[in-house]
Amino acid sequence: MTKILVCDDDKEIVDAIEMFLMQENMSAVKAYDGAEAIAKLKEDNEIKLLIMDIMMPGLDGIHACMEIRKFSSLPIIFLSAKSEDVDKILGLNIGADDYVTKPFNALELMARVKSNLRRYTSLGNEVEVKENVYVTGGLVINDDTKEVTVDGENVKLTPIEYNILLLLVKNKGKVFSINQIYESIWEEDAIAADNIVAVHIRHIREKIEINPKEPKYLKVVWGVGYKIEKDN
Amino acid sequence: MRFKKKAGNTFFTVLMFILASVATASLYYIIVSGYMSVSKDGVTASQYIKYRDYKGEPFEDTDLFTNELYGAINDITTLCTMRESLDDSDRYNIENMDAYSTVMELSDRYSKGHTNVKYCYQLVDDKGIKVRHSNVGDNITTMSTDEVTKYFTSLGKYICFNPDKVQMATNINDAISIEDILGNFDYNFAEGSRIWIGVDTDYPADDILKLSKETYAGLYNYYFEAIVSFAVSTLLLLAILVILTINAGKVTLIHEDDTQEVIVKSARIDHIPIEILAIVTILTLLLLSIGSEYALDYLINGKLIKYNSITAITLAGIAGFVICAIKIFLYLIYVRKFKCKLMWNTSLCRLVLGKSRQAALDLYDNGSLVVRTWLPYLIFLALNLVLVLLGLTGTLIAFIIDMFVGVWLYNESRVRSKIVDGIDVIAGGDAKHKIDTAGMHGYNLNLAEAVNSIGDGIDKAVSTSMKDERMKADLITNVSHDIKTPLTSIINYVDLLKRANIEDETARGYIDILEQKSLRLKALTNDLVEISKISSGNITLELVNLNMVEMINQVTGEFDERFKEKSLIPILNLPKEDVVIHADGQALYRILENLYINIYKYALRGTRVYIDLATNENKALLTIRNISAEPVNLDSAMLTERFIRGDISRGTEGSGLGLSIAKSLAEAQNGRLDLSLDGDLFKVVVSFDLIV
Repeated sequence: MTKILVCDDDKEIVDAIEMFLMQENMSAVKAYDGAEAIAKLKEDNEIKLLIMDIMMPGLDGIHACMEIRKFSSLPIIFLSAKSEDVDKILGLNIGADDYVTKPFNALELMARVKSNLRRYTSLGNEVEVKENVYVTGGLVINDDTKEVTVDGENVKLTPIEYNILLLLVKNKGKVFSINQIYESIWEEDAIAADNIVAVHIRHIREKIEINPKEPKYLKVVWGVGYKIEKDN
Repeated sequence: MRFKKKAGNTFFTVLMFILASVATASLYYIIVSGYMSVSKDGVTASQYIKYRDYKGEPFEDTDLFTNELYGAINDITTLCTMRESLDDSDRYNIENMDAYSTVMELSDRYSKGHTNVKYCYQLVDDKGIKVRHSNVGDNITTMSTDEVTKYFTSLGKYICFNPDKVQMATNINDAISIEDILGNFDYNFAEGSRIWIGVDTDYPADDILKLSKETYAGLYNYYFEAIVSFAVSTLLLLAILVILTINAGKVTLIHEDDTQEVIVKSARIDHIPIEILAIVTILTLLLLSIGSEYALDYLINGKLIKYNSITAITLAGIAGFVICAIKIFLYLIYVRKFKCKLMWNTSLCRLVLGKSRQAALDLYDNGSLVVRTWLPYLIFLALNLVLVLLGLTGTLIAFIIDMFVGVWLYNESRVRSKIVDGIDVIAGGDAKHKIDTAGMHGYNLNLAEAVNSIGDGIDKAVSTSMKDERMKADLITNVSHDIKTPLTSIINYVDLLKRANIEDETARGYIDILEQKSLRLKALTNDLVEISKISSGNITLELVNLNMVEMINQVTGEFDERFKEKSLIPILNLPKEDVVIHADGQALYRILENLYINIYKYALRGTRVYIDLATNENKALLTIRNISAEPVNLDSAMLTERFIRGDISRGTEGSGLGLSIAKSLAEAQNGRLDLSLDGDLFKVVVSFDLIV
């Protein structure tokens, strides 16, 4: 069973997360402050992922993460009540792979755990970069087989959805307005029914994003258009 | 710090005094060298010869000699003729007593040994020639007329006079004057008388003539030397004067580290007010000039010291020394005053003017209203009246004064407008701005100071209020953070409860309620933080140009499913062209999201939602209309107030802050959000400035 280290100074939260993990067939190793987490990590090298709170007495999450990154590159998900953008940016820059704010949706947390695990384990199996294969983060689009996978998991898209996604992935970083997408896909002038594109985008997001409200791949630039972020 | 007077100064000063004394002595010599004044036995002879008239001729040829001689001739002739008419018995004769004493006196004066003037008076009577009066000696009595004549002509100067024939023989130049004098005694000469007068130019006797001759000999002896000496010493004097002027007040300043520096330092006496100094100077100069005139007069005419003696010259020199000292002393005071800029500074006038100006300003600045306004005005009126009454000049002066007053009034107005400008700046938001009160007086000063202190007050209030806002925002953030932790547990365990297989329907119902409420709490907490950030200005907005048309399409697309869920039909009316505004994409999305969520939650099922985007000259207007499912029993204004929801009904999500947040966000981006209710029609108008 996959071992996940859960670290938070609030015992109830740790126990609850343990429950959620168990329902996903994963086991939890528990810690209640940063130092304990580091110690447990060093002891047990079967731990595959770390869920860590930031605001803890003793060694806090940020410093613990910096310490951990010195000897391990396992996926770290920050779990914190600090929900400001600056806090998220800080956390991700320190070396965490994901950031979830409290109160959190258990389903979302689990989805992210799984996604991060998949990404980590699939690092060994590098996706062959072939001509018609487009990769961004965990999103892989194989234009030969018309297959779309996110973190290894297959996603079913309608042809129009596929085309829109392909267009954006082929032009990473470029923002396409609704009209531009329409004209590219339908190959007609964009008149009425401008919603269509927006609706499709939403569907795509719901399929490929863990949290459509905080998309990782297909980003909305409000008032301008849509894009897929360039790899950094 | 020590001071050391420049050594050069003392040397030059002393040298100057010496030169002054030399110059004065020389000048004195020059003035008196042509002057002869001798006196003997109560007889004084004073004469003045101008240098240009002096030819160095023999004394006996000069006027000095002849003038003296006239006196002698007069005396001797008086003596001789008067004696004739007197005899011994007249000594006691009252009538002739005066004549007798005169004769005796003259006889004495011109007796042999007392004078170098020789005379002889001969009478021819019936007995033959008789020498009656003479001071030559006894041997003359036996001489004949010719022998007498011969004797007298052997003297240096002689006069032989025969009254009967009015014949005169003389070797004196000015014969005519002598004739005149002798002619006065015409009737006094006896018949057949003869008179001889001569001067023994060997001057055996010590009489006034001899003295005169001796003095004459000494006349102008060193005149040329005196002139040179005077000129040279005066020039040198002037040169030294220049040097002293340059060096006046200079002292060497010795610092602690023994470096030396030459600076100009004023003496204590230099601080004397210039008016007093002027008076003292004038008095001194007056005294000195009167004094020296007096002294000169006294010396020449006085008897104490011979005027042409070395003593006199030395005295003159000393006087020069003293006078120079006094003058230089005064002069240097002036020079140092000038150098140290003490001329006006130490003036009494300045003191008085300054004090009265100060007093007037004090009165103007601090006096009562009546004093400040009426007093100057009345003085002004009075002044004008008096001046006008004084005629044309007075009127002109009054006119000039009025001009000055006009300028002053303009200045006061200008200052006042400056104050008004300052007030505008402060009112415009810059509470730190200060009005510069330098040079202000009277009410203007009071006003400016008051405005500045008001500005201070405003500034303080603003910063206090900003601090309070920040504290409030921090408080809310911290508190919400502390709320989120237990809230997380609640949500998690409710979630776990839901996953647990609880068969009891009622229990499951309760769990649903718990879930709803805890989620609502979560939404509330998030919104609380959001709105406190927005209202305290803590939010960072990245304003970019974005297209409202695109925006609305995107958002409408987002809500496609949800609207379909409630069978809401969006009717879009958007322009074909781009509608560009300057806003933050994320924030604008939040606003629209809130509005759309509102519609999703509260609109009547199966109704249409009208979304119109229009532009007028400079604004983009988004109008969204929908029909409300439940009646809204609140004022539209109150809908955007915090925590008010249209209907307090259970089972609905949301925290009630949504519209409030939307409004604050709009305003934070310089836009507007207005709500209005018309029965069940719910209308929202969002407006932003159009970027062309």
